Amino acid sequence: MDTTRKDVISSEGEQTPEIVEERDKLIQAADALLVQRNFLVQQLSVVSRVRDKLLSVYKKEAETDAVLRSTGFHWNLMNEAYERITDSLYSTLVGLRNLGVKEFSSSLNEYTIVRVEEYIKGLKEAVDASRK
Amino acid sequence: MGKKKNRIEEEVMQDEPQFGLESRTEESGKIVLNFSGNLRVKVAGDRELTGNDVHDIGEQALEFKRAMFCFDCISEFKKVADGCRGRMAEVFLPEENAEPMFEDFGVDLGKLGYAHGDMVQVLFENVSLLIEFGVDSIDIDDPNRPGISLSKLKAELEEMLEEAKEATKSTWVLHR
Repeated sequence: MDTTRKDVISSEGEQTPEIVEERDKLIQAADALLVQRNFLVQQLSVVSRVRDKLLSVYKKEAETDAVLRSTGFHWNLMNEAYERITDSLYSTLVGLRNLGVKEFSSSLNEYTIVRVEEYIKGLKEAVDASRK
Repeated sequence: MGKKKNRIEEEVMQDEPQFGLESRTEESGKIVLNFSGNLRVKVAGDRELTGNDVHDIGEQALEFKRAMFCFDCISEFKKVADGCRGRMAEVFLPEENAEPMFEDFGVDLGKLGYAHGDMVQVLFENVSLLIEFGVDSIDIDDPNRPGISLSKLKAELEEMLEEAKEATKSTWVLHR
């Protein structure tokens, strides 16, 4: 994995070697999850739009999802993966917040700066919805 | 949600074109055939069309509308999947690391590639038949595709088929 663009931009609290090591591990994990979640969000947004179109033609969800599967998209698995990744990202960011990390740069794209608290708030809703 | 349904979505699965609405008009030296399902076909003016020809053109035009609907859906999938694949491969080096993630996320890129290739082939055959019938252009009442020129579309599809062949060839060489 490309590790060149992930840096702690702002962190506070104790910075023992153990904490720094744990922090770096969590940033690495959060970065991977950010990229994966971004992929799923993009795919789900397109597949969901096309699924609505197909549903208006085939009328039944089972038939619609079979058509989607024939083109390589397993609707249920995609949604499960989205929930799983969102959940993991949320926990990882909370872990980073607990270690005092305020901001870090992500390889999501060249200029993405993840503001931890802000991102956690944004994810909270998605996590709550998936846990219902 | 009270969303207004697109006519293309409602009619794309219609089994038969309804020929009751068929009409012919001459327009700039071309014969214009109107079918129900908001299908409008322009045929070269020098063609002598029998009733059977018109029926065949109507059926083929409806097939075209269906194929175009599926093609547009799959193309949209492919565009996003290719974009994401590129980005994931950049981040999760080496590139092979990105592949299993797609499977885990319920996306089969191989199947998508085949489905896209199949759809290009189906559309290509359909367009070739319409051209054989003398059809110049077709309007399927899709605001994103007004008055589709069949010769232009055929050339685009030919290019896609060539690209697909090249991709298969390079994979084969690689795997040897």
